[in-house]
Amino acid sequence: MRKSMKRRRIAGNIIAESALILLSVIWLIPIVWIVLQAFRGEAGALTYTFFPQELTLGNFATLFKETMFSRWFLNTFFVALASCVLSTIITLMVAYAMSRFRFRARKPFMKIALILGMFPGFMSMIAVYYILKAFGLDGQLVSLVLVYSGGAGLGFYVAKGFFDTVSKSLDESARLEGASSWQVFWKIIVPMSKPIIVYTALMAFISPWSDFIFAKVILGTNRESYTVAIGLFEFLDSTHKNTFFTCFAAGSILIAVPVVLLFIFLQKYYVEGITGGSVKG
Amino acid sequence: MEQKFTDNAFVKFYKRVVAWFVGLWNGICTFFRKLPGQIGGAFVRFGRACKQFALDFVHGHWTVKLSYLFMGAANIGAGQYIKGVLYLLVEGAFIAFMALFGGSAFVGFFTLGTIAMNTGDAVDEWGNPIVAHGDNSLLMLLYGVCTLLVLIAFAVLYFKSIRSGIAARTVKESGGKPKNFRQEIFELFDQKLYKTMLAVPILCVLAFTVVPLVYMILMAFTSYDHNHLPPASLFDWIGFETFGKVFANPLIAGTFFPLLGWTLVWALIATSSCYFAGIFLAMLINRKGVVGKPVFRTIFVLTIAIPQFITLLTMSNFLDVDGPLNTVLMDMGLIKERIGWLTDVSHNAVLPRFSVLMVNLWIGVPYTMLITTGVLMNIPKDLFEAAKLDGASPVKLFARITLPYVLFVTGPYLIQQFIGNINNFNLIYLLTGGGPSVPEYHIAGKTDLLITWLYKLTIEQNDYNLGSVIGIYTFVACAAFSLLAYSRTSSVKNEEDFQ
Repeated sequence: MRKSMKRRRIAGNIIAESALILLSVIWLIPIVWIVLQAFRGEAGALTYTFFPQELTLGNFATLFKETMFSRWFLNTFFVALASCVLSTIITLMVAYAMSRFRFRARKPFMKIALILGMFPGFMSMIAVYYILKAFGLDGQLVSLVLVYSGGAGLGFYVAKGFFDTVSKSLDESARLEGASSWQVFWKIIVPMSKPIIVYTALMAFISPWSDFIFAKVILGTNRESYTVAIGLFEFLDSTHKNTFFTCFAAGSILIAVPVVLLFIFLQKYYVEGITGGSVKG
Repeated sequence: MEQKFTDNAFVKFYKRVVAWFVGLWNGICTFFRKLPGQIGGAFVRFGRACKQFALDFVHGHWTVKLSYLFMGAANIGAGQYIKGVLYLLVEGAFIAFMALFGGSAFVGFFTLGTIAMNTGDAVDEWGNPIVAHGDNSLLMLLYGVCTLLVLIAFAVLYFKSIRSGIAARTVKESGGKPKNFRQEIFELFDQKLYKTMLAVPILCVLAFTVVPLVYMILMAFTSYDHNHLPPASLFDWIGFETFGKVFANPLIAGTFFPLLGWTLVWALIATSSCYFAGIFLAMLINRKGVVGKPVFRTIFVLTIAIPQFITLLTMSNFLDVDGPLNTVLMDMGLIKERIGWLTDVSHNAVLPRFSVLMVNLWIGVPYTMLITTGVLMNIPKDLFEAAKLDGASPVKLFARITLPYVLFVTGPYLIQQFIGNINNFNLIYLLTGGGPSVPEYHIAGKTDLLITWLYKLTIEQNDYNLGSVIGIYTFVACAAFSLLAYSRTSSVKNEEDFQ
């Protein structure tokens, strides 16, 4: 009886292990392929071989010499950093206000935030463009920062869920010692909220690297201030694809490596952020 | 507890799902039953507020009466000089704004422009064409919306100033001293900190979300399409015409309903497949005795970490007719001809639709895996031990313990995913661009979701009013579904329990 149980267990493990290996291969193939393309020596968009016949670093050289990739990279880095700082502050403040204060407009505000979050984002894109244009900000990176962090006021649910789990007695004891709510927030709540700060900052930092539709509409034809996403997308349109496909692959890797490293190191906070809000209310 | 073991696991799960939808339906009914009462209540409250407004004027001190005309007069009369002057300045600024800009913008909101741009037909007395720039309906609509917002903001401030004036007066008459400006500022960083904290975020949301949305929604009621493009020509209010067009015009209705159907099918399959496959993968990795857990986890997390537009564009080329997938399959001798994974139109384009769902699985499964891994480890072990002693099979263990537990914890995430998939613009746009296009659809393809169709209608075709109507319909469906679903999940209901 015992022996057969053990045997079944081992058989099950072998099946599980091989299933996982098979799945990993499926998941890795496209990634391996795009990495190989970055080092491909032959010209052209798609070749009829999976492995390149000739390996080279030339695509990276072309990327930096003949395109504005480095400029785009710096642009994106600036937007990501600025909107990361601003959105984190905004999100935390709104979340704290919603979690700790009880006021008349609170419930309606929370419902409205939920509803507004459901509108297809770029339905408002064109109007945002005209508003920015009215202030002379169209085609500029600052406007991207404004748009990305402007929406942060609606994304407070996760952080609010986190603050809800932080015991209120902490606030109260600090208040007894004469601290104002403002001081409680900065000196007690913020230092305690590392997981949620990292989560919010991570999300805000990553999204500019990926968003291209909003950026495209706002930046228009001002190629000087493109972000990497628009720039690389342009490599793949029908007129450029033949020349620039391998550059696209090279550029993709240059963006993906730092973002992947960041994500893998901070994934603990990502999971806590997503489940934390729902587990604890 | 005893009853629990009479039903088959799947029957139970099925019943639970049915109960959830029944609950949803009941929720909808209750909402509409309560609606008339709520509207009536709002009117009654409004009437009371008006009466109070008039009574306050009649019974008020003369400074209060004056404050109905000059904001802040009562505050100044009661000794709150700085606050009163600030109110007065706001009133002055508002009047200046309306006189210089707001007034004409307000009128323009209703006319949307009367002078069309001269396209060269009219000539002056010497026969030269008169170059005259006409009204730009688009800008007039935008300025109109902004002016409306300013009007509302001012109205709110106006009533607030009267209330604050009366409050200050009452304190003074009962012998007290109204709070001075310094005290009020301190309050804004203590008891009323929420006002300070919310001020900037709300302004941002108004500027970058609310105003643009109102603007786009209003476009649904105008004739702004490819025949009425400002600044060359004007557009005007046409009411609900476009809303009806979606149902009445055979070509548009013949695109809208199939796309709506596909959007819902897509969202349902995409969400549930990722969800269950993700739980399965997490259980596989978590299985006792599997070696190399961190390695597997990292491999799958890779697809989350790589920016999505890269993975999607990679996949789109990977599945291209000339792409590596076909190459490898041909080299292995598995297929004879190259397959149009994303372009084959035969059998109602079932292959591209399937491919899109598969790519979504490839991208989405790791998310669920990552999220449920932690949840799975939190399930109390004794639950499993007890059920195993009762002789429950692995399937039963999954259906009775694992699934309910994970569903409970990740409920809100699941709703978010469903809404996210309905609006999953990036995936479809970057992968297939909505294609393969077919002639029976109005500028749309077989894998187009409503959201990507909306994009094509507006950005590519300039049919802004139609796009806006589609957006409104999509939104109404999403909003109704998720508000009800959210209000039925426990985590929103028991907000106060955890504090």
